[in-house]
Amino acid sequence: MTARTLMNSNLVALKPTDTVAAAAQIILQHHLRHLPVVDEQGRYVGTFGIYSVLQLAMPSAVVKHGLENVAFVTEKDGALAQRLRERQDELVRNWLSQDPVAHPDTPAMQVVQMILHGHTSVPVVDKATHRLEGIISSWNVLESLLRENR
Amino acid sequence: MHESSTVASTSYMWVAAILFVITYGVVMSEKVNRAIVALVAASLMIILGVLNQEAAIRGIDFNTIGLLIGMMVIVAVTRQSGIFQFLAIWSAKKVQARPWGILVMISLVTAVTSAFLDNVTTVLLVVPVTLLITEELKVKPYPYLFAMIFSSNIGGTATLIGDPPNIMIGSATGLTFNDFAYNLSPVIFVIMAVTLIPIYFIWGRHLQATPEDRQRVMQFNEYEAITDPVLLKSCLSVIGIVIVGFMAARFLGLEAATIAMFGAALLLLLANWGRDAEHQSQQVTHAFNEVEWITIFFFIGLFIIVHGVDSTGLLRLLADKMLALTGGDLTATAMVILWSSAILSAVIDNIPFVATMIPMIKAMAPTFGGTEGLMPLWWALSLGACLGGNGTLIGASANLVVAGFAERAGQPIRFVEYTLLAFPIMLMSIAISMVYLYWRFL
Repeated sequence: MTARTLMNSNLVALKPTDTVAAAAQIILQHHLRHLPVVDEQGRYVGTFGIYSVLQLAMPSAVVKHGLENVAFVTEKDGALAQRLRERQDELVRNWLSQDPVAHPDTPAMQVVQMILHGHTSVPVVDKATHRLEGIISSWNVLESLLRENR
Repeated sequence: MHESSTVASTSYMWVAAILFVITYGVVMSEKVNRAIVALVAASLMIILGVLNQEAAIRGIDFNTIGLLIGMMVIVAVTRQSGIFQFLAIWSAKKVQARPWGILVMISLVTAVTSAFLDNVTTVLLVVPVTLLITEELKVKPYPYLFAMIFSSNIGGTATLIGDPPNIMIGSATGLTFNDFAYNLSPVIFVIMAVTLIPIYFIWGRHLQATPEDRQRVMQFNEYEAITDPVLLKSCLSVIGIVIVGFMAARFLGLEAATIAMFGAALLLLLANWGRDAEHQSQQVTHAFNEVEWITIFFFIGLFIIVHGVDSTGLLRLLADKMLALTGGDLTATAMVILWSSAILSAVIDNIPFVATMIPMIKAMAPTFGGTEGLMPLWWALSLGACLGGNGTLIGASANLVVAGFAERAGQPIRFVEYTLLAFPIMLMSIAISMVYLYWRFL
C-alpha cells in the first residue's frame, strides 16, 4: 500500500492570497485541522490550519520565542479575540507552515510514521511537478485499515 | 648536535605558528564550526610533533573547563524554575511599566545575572519576556535589545565567573573571585551607568506607552512565572553556596572548578531526590545536554594549540617584542594591552585572544618584578577583552543570540548600523577603564 491508495484527492485547498479570516471560516466549516495551500498552477506551497489561526491570537513574542509558561499574563476578556481581529486581513501566504510531504509512491508505513510524528495530515505531492495530488489525514488511514479488516 | 636541535625547534616554531594563524583565520571566517577547527588544529599539533599527547593534556586548563561545565549544569537546572522570567517581570512592574524605566531595570537584571551566570543563557531567557513586554507596550524592541547586549557583557566583566576571559585569567593566575570583584566591580558600576546615557539620548527619551498598555504589563503576575517553587529554592540555595564558596575559595583552599562542580552535583542531587530511576536519567541527560559542548571542546582545542605555540618559545618572543615596543614601561604596556584587546575582541573571538595573551603576559613577569607586578596587566586584559565584545555584533556570543531573536521578531539588528553606534560606546567604556587603571593601579 502507498500514499496514492490512502490519500483523499477530493480536496479543499486554500490560495496563498486568501485572508486569514476567510481561511478560518473554511477551517471551521469543514472541521479540517490542516488545509493545503496551492498556487495558481496547482503546486503545493505549504499548509495553513487551525493552529496557524490560534497562533495569530497570541502575542508573537510568545509564539516565536519559545516562552513555554505564560501563566503570568492575565489579560482582560476579549484580548485574544482582539489580537486575532487585528490580523484577520493578513494573507495566508505570510503564515504558511512547511510540514514534510509524501509522494504518491511513498510506502504506507512511512506515511503513518509522518502522521504520528507531526500530529498532522500529510500532503501528497508529485515529485516532478510539485502539484498537490491529495492529502492523507489520520482519519483516511484509520478508515482504510478498518475497511481491510472487515 | 646542538645545531640540529636548534633547526628542529625553529621548524617546530614555524609549524606551530602556521597552525595557529590558520586556526585563527578559519575561526574568523566562520566557514567551519569553531570546535571542529580547534580540535583538528590541536590534533595536528600532536601529529606533527610540536607536542606529545602528555604535553598536550598538560596544556589543557581543566580548572577552566570544570568551572564552565559546572556553572552550565547549574544554569541548565535553574532555568527550568522560571526565575529569569520572574526577575524580568518583577523589575518591569517595579517601575510601573514605564518604557525607559523598564529598559534600565532589564539592563540591571541582565548585568547582575550575567555577572554570576553565563551571558548567553541570561539573554536567552530574559530576551523573550522583554519582547513580550515591548509588544504589549507597543514600543520598539531594538533599544532594549541593544541595551541588553551591552549590559550582559559589562556585567560579565565584574566577576571571576562572569565571562570566559575572566575564568581563564583567574585560573591561570590564581586570582580569586574576591580579587576580581574588588578590583573590577567599581569601574563596572560606572561603565554601566555611563553606557545608559547615550542610550537615553538616542532612544530612551522618545519611548512612550499609553496608560492602557502599561496597565496590561502591570497585570502580569510574576509569581505565576515560577514553574517549580521547590526546585527554585534548591537552585537559589546552591547558587548561594557556590558564590560563598568562590568568596571563601582561598580560605577553603579550593579551586573554582571544585566549587562549581560540587554545586552542579549538589543541585542535581536535590532536583532528583526521591524520583524514580527513569525520571532521574531523563533529568540528568537534559542537564548535560544543555552544556555547550561546542564551547567546551573549542576551549580544549585552543588550550592545546596555544600550549603548542607557547612551548616553541614563540609567545615569549612576541612578549619581548611588545616590551621592546613599550620600552618595558608598565603603564605603556597596560595601555597597549587594554586598547589592543578591546579592538581585537570586537572583531575576533575573545577566547582564543585571551588564551594567547595569558602566556605572553606571564612571560613579562621578570621585567615587572615578578608575578605581583603583573596585576595591572591582568585587569587591563580582562577589561579590554570583555568590554571589547560590545564593539560589533560578532564580538561576543551573547550578541549573536540577541541578534537571532531580533531577526525572528522582524526587527533585525544590522551589523553596520549596530557597529556605528556600539563601537564608539565601547570605546567610551575603554576610555573609562583606562582612567580607572591609571588611577588605581599605575
